Amino acid sequence: MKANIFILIGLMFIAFGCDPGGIGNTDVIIDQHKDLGTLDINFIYKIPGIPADRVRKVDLSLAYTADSLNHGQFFTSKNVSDAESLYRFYLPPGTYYYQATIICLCQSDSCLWSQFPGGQFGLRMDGGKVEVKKGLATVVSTQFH
Amino acid sequence: MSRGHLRRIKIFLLLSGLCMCNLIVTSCSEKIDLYSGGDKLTAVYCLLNNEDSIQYLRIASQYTIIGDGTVIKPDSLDMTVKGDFIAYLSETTSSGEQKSYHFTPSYAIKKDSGWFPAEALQVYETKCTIIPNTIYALYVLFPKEKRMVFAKTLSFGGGFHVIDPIIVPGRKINLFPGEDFYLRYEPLKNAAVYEATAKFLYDDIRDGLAERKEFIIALPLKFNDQTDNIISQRIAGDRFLRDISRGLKKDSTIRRRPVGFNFHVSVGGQELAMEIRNDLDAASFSNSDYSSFENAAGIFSTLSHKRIETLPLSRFTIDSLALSSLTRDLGFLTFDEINKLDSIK
Repeated sequence: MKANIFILIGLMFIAFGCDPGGIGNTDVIIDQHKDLGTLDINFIYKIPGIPADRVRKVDLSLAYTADSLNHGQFFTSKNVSDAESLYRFYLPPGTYYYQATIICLCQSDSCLWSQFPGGQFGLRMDGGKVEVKKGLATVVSTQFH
Repeated sequence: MSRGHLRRIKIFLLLSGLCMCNLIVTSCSEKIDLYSGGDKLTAVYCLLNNEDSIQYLRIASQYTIIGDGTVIKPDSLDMTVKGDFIAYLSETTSSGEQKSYHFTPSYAIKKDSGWFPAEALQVYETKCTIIPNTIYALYVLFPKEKRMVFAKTLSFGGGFHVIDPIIVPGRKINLFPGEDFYLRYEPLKNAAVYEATAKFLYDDIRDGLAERKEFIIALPLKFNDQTDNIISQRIAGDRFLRDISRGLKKDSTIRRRPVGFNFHVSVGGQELAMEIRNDLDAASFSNSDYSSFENAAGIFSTLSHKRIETLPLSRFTIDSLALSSLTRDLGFLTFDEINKLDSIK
C-alpha cells in the first residue's frame, strides 16, 4: 500500500514537474514571482472615423529608461492580439517605460484624418512611465486620442 | 404406422414449415446484400473543400495483406477498381433544391510513385463550389454489379476565421522564456476537428550560401466538444527553445539565420473527426474500422485549410535563439549579426 502511494507521488512529479509547456503549477508561479511586482497594461484604443478592424495592434514593449524608449531599445515585448486587451508583465520593482503601437490599414485619407502620419500603414504610439512595486499590481491603460 | 413414426413426421413437418417461413421472410426483404465477406472492399475518399471550385474523389480496391504476415507490394491490377462506374455528388440546399455534379477522370494532381503504384491512383474531379451549410451526398454506382456506394455530409457553415496570427505590418512573433504565443481561431459551424502546425523557418548558411530549412511544431488535435467562442492553442516560449535544441544538430561549419513562422490550420467535418477519434481509440482499446460508407471503406467529409505565412520574429526571439543556454551552440545569428550580414549584401 505504502509503495503504491510512493509510486503515485513519483508519477505525479514526472507528469507535472518537468513540463514547462504543460499544465501549470500555480504555487510554483507565485513562488517564482514572489520578489516581483505586476504591471498590467490595458491596451485599448478607439479611433473615430475608422472601422475597428482597420486599426490593428502592432507592438507592446518595455524599456528601462526614457532614452532607450526613444531609441527603440526595449528589453522585452509581448505578443499582441486584437482579441485581447490585457497584458501582464512580472517585473522587479523599479521604474519602467512602456510603448504601445497601433497601425492604420485604411486606404484613402481616413488614416491621415485620424492622425496616423503618412496615411495608410501609418503608426501611432502611446507610452508612459510606470512604477512597479514588489508584490503589488500597477495597472495602466493606453490612451490613443 | 407406429406412434413414434407419426411423431417424427410431425416434427419434420414443423421444421419444414419454419424453414419455409424463414425463406419467405428473408426473400421479401428489399435489402440487397451489398457486401459479402469474401469480396474485396472498394475504398472511396472524398473530402470536400469549400475554398476550391473543384472537388476530388479517389477510388481504389482495398489492398489486402497476405495472412502469414509477409508484406507483398501491391500491384496496380490488385488496387484498380475495374469495370464501369458512375460517381456523382448530389447537393441539397436548405430550400430543398437538388443539383448533381458528375465526376470525370482527373489528371490535375501529380501522382507520386512509391509503395503504391501511381497508375493505381484513380482520381476523379468535378466542378463544384461548396455552398455553406448544405447537405452533400456522394454516390458511386456499379451498374454491372448492381451495387451502390453512398454517404452524405454537411458542409461547413461558412469560412474559417483565424484570429491569431494575422499578418499586420510591423507585428512580430515573440517566443522566448516567459513569453508564449497563442494561436486563436473561431470554431466553425459543422466542423468537429482542428489540426494546427507551426513551421519555424530558418536558413542554414554554409560558405555564403543559404539553404531554407523548416522545423515543424505540431500542436495537439482539438476536437470541437467544448462550447468556447474562441479556440486557443499555446506554443510555450520555454518549450520552443527546448524543442529546437533537441531537433537541430550542432554543426560548426554552418551559421543559422532565423526567418519566421508559417502556420497551417486544417479543419475537418464530423465524419473526419470520427475517423480520427477511431484511429486514436484503436491505439488503446479498439480495433474497429470507421467508414463513412456502409459497404465500402473510406471517408466522405469536409476539409478546409488556412495558411498564414512568413510571420517575422522579434529581436528578442532571434537573440534568445542565439544566446540562450539551450540553443547557443546551434549557430544562430544574433539580431545585430543579421543586420550586419544584410548591410554587406
